[in-house]
Amino acid sequence: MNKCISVSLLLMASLPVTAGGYIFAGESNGVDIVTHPKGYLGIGGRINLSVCIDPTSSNSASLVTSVENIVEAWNQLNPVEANLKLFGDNNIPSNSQYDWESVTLHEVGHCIGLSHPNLGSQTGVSGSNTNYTYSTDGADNTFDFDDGADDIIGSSDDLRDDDVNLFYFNNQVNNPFVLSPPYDSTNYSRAVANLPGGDNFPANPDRSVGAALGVADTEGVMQQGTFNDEDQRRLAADDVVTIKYAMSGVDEMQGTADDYTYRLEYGGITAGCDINIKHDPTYTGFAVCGTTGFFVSGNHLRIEEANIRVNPNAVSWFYNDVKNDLIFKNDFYY
Amino acid sequence: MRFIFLSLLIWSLGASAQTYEVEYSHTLNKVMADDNTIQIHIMPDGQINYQWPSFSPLAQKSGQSKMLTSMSTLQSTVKQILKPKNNQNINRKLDVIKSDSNLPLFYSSEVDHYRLLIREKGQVVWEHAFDNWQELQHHYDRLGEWQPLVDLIRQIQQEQIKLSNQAKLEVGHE
Repeated sequence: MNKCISVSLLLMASLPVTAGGYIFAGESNGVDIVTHPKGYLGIGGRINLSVCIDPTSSNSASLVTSVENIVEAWNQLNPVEANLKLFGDNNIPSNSQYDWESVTLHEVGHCIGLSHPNLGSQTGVSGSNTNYTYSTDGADNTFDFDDGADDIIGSSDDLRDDDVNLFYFNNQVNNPFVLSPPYDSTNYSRAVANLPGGDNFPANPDRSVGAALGVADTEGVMQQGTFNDEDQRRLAADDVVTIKYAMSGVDEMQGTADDYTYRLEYGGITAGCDINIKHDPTYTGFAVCGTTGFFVSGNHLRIEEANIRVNPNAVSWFYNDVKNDLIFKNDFYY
Repeated sequence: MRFIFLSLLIWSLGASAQTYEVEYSHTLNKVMADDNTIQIHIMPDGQINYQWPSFSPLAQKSGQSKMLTSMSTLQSTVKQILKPKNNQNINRKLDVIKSDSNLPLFYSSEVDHYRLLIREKGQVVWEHAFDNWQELQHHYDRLGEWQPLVDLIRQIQQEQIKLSNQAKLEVGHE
């Protein structure tokens, strides 16, 4: 084995893990929901998923490199620190532009089952409160917000009263910027009783939480929100761990028969794929993934249909045309 | 003479039907900017005021226009929204639809906030704010008497797209 990979494996093995959350989880469907990509039937093996650019998309040719990069990023599951490349540190020529590849990388994450690790504005909260960790609003039907002594929203000292946590964190560690196997229920939970002493609520991978934990310019790709002149084309630890936790199957135990791997494949500019990306001038929002889901068993769902729409006119987009340079191969440390 | 009188009567009835003023706003919550809201204000006479957020390539083209789509269709849809409903609460209606275990679960990652306000003679007669536009569209066939709400938003969005295209052409000529 290559020495570099051996050292990396050793380092990863010694690090603790924190994971994120899953779409469809909540009071309606169940707080313990784990959502899997299309094609998972509760049995092990490899799932192949095609990712295509809808042929009716505007500027379809300019999207190809980015979609290939996105496919590669979600296949390689190689988490990096400092995955935020801001202003002069990226190849976005103007600070008024938004990076199409970064935004669509996030939407593909939803299309394979991942939720925002933070509350996000879909819960009805607004402003900086959207950065609190993913949860329900609890028995009182009201989100409870107090950012604690550090004044950082989404960090471990937040006081959330009866809000029910939906974010999978590593027991007794509660740091979303580090990772180590096994990525399963032996090491993770949603139960706040498993937080380290002194912590009040699971921390999420927001950039301000990362900075406070000594991990600069790093944020989970699945965290809601995009800034201008921001390249976030690489996954962070939390993104990788959340999908790997799902890959431990319906028993949520790694190394058992129902574990699976998946492989995204770029299928070209064509229709009818498993994940369809449409650069759609008739869409008046920003970017969205719409999915349908079916129960596999118990608390486990799989996605059945996944479609992304991005509005080409919402902002001034930058279309990256540089192939990414990730060096690790798919599944190498799973 | 009778023909002229009838024409005038029909015209005046038509004109008096255009009584509703519609305010629509759409906040693009995924875009982290101080100003991330699209605002469209349609007056009863078909005058439309629109404002794009500052990050939009069309921001400098915010302004006024005449409606490019049918004003009478829009007014007719507003009337249907204002009709009394058996189930007044759209959210309750949607909850009932979503509780049907025969339907596949639906998830949308859109996090945008919408607000729709209808005025008649300057007075607010109906208002609704919501965060689930994709859900409303997805369940359109089951919305029954609430379908006009989706119809109205689609009509406004069609107008928005036409205005965008018009503004883009103007930008292109500069």
